[in-house]
Amino acid sequence: MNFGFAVGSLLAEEGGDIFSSLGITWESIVLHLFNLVVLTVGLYFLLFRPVKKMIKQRQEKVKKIEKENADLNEEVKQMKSSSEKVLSEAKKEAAAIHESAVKVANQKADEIVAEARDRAKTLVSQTQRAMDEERGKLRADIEKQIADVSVAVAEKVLAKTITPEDNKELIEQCLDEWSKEQ
Amino acid sequence: MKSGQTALVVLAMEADGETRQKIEEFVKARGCDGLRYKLDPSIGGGIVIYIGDKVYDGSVKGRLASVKRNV
Repeated sequence: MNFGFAVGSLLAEEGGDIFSSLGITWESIVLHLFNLVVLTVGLYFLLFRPVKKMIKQRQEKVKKIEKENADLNEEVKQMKSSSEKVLSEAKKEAAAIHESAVKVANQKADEIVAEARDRAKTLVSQTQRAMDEERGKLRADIEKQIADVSVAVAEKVLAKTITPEDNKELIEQCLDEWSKEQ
Repeated sequence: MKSGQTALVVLAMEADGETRQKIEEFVKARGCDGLRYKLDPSIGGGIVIYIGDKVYDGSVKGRLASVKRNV
């Protein structure tokens, strides 16, 4: 205000004629300066502060969103890492199960083969025994048949070749033996 | 052995007197007071004597049967 008043005074002193020819007085200058100040203050409170506040709010909001985004990214990263870990563990577990299953299957196969071998061995043994028995029976039959035939042949040969003297000797021999037995 | 039994003597062919004498002595020694002869060529030779339940088998056929059993 003092500055306006001084300028006005100076203008009035040195170029008062020019200002006055233009219709500018120091009162009007002061009034304009006052208006400028009022306008500036009004603009500051009515426009600059709310805009500033709104920009600040927007910035905070953007920061918050960025933070949320970063958090989300981190979470996604963690989830991805976690899922990869779970997947890796699942793969390891699947491999272990597969290995165990293969092991059990191999063991079972070995058992089946061993059992089959035992059965085959038993079967061969039984067959061998049956063959031996059959061979023994056949041998006994053959021996019996040979004996039958031999006896039949002997009977026929002896019946034809035995003489009365032989017969007498045989009878006396028998009587002697039976007498000695008693 | 019971006395007074009759012995059955089976022969394959006729025996001479000496042999018959020995047979009679044998059966008498076993309590028989009589004997009967029977000719049966199927016994092959030798003698079979039946006295009651007792059988004395000295025939060729009997001996071969015994051999056959043992084989």
